[in-house]
Amino acid sequence: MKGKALEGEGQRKRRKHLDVTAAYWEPQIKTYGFRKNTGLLLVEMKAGAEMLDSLGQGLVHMGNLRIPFHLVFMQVSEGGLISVYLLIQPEWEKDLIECVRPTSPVGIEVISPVDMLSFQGPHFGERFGILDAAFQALSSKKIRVIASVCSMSCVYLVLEAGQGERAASALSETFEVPKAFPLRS
Amino acid sequence: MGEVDGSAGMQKIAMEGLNASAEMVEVGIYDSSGLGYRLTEFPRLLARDRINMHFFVGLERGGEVRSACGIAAVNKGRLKALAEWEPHLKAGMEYRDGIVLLSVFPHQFDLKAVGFALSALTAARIPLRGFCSSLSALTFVTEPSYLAKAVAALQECFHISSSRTDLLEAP
Repeated sequence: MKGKALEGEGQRKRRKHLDVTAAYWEPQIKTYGFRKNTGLLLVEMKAGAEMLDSLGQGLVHMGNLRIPFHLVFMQVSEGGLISVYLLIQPEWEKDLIECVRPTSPVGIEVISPVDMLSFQGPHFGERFGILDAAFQALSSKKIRVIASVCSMSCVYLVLEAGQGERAASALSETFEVPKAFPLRS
Repeated sequence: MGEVDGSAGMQKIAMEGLNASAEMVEVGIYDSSGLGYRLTEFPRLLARDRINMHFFVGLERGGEVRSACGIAAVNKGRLKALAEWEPHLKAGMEYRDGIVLLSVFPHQFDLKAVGFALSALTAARIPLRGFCSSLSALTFVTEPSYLAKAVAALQECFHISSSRTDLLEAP
């Protein structure tokens, strides 16, 4: 692939105006199945934008130790401070801290133990209202969502520890879980 | 995760593909009122007017809510009009025109891939508005004018199979 192909004016215009949407709604939203992960750790790594390289190197070090992640996402706060959030298995906590500590410009904090639910469904990347439907189903049972990430056709919900089972049950009233692909842990 | 030798003997991680989204608008939402449930309110607002989010990253912690989402540029006006009816949300909303999503896949849940990408994009001075993982892809939020440079930076650390490398016109 040639990067310069991206620079064409025609392509830039098309990129600006094309949007794909699918505007249908089902009484019970179809999914390809749910995945539940309980007892994970939510970890925050914080650095100034100029220290992002150190943060990247810390992550490479963790990768070399084969520390797997369940979810990773980044947010930028006022003043350009970068926070990278990681969801990992608790047994990796010590290794993780040891990987990051030597790169002193990066702060690390274990926020809390959490549960996570994730699911995918047909056209989720192009449809409105999917995350809202999940939030409403959880709110109705007073289940607090700590964090959420939607990307491509995947929805991730990070919940307080111990809420995974209740959340899965609440979501199954709004979303259809295919019999062939029941809830996986 | 598969690794191959790069041109300078540097190890590159094998990736099957890379794609870029259409240009869109990023909406940032920040609230520190501590009133709770604000994480859920913004998606509610969009759903009410059938506006799709192409990505969403949100976190509620210590009474603070910080979210970012991508919507089609054509929907910005509708969202602004909707927000007029929700002054508490409107106060914390910020619009950034002209962002794109650049995704590489599959990440295979390997932090080395995340670290390589982050370091490569930083070294190339690519403005990064955020990133997140999905089941298969790592998706980076940047500016359209840096897209070609960002693709080149990622190609420095990933060996991307040419047969699956394409740039899509829509997310």
